[in-house]
Amino acid sequence: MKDREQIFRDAFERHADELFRHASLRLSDRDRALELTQECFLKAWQYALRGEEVREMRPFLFKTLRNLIIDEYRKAKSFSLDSMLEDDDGGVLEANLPRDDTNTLEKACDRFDGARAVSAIRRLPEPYREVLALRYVDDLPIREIAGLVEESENVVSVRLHRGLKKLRAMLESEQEQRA
Amino acid sequence: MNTMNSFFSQLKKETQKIRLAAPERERMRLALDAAMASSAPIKSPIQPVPSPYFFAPRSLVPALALILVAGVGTSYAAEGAVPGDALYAIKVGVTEPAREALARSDEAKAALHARFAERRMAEAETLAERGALTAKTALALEENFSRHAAEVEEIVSAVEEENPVAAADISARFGSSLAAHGALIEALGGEGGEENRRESGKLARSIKERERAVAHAEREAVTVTAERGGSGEIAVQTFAKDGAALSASIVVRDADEAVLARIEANASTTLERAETRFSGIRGSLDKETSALVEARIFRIRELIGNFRDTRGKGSEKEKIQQALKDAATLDAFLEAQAKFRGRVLLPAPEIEMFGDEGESEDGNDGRGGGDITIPVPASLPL
Repeated sequence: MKDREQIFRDAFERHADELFRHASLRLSDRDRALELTQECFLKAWQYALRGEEVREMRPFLFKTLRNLIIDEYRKAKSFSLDSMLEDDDGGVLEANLPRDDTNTLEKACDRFDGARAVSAIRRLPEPYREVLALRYVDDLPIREIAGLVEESENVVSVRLHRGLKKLRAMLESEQEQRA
Repeated sequence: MNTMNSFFSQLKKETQKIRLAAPERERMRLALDAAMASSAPIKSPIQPVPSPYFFAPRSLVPALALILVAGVGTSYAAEGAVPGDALYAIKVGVTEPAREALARSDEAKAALHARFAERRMAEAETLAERGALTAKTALALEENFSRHAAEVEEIVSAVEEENPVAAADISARFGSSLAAHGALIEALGGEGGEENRRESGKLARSIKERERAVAHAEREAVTVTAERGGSGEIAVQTFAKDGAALSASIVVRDADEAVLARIEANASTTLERAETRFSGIRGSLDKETSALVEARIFRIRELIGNFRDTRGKGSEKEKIQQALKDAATLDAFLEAQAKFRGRVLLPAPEIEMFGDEGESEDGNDGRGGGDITIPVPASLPL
């Protein structure tokens, strides 16, 4: 049976980058993302110290990180958590979308700049940013995302769908501004 | 959804570039190791897995070899070097990294970094006293000092939850040392030219800032609630200021007691050392200075005594920390007095008559001689 410490060291080597990646997409401050990533591993270690067994390391680490990010949002003095969250009402959004001129859009987005993509994700409001990052950057399956955010898979799917719509609206309005 | 496919493939590509830089990764690895080491039971000295503390870059191996080959003499000779001396490069570039690589436990590492930070301050003091502290040298010293001070702080926070006693001890000692050296540099740089005075002042301010941060962190970071368990252990849970639980309950035995005991031991030892120094140089001091030192020693002893008497009630921690701080300051000044004879150095921060706590601004108005405003106790109890 593998030494507990070695398990954690391995987990660090394997997952540190992707956890940091996730944190840096969710927070605006790189230093803070670093700190939270470190904090995440330290807390995970403490948890293990208490004799708790960690069945699957990666989801556990993501969960721990998520809680830290939530605490971080709470600490941000200039917003309340509510004001940072978008109302989850994709229905209204649908009515407001301009008629999709797919040809122009496709051409315009064809060479989508990577940096702009990252910037767009960062600007997406919560809770959409979180699920889109988990799905398309961290490659978590919907089932795992559901466990992580403590919602049903249905809710997660809807949220992803609305998130994509929101994202598309954001990109299209950007597109128009640049034209 | 072609546009979206393109978006997400670009996103994926770009985000893959977001990763930890090598030094950042290394730091985190060490922090994790420190946390594991501080909670692990005693390990066998035989380590089949290469110790993380021997990650030392290849360039360090020749340095270690140099120390061994050149013999102990070389590094000893280097120990007293200051910037500008030929051997300084060895002191800072060779012996210090070598010692760093060898430190194993948290306390050893923290003590080492604290020691190195103190060495920078001592070097600055020597140069300041000579009137030779240039802007360039001061900057270099400050950078190195900050690096080591930051390491101390990092170790303290890494260790805090698992071992609050060790963390508090390291903090208390380092904070006191900073207070002492800050005051000292300022006093020494007083004479000796414009640049010297300016750089000494700057350095002193930066040290004091660091000291405030250390003291602030101790006071502010967390509140700890403790509940006594059935067999006398204390279950401790730490909370951040906004009430979010930072840790699960950790069982600690008599944490507060242990912290206070260690601080008290430090204060007493430091005071004893100061007294020894005093008797060594007493002959060369004038009557006024001698009287002031005696009064100071007396006052510190009183603080420690009060702490012992009122154990269990009142703000003991502040009292005993103040005692440690004052003892360290006095010790540092007496050490400097011995080193730089012929100068009166004593204007240390005032010791409040009634054990005032909090961040009392250092009354550094003295530059030797005239402006000393140290209260002498009105009546000297026997």
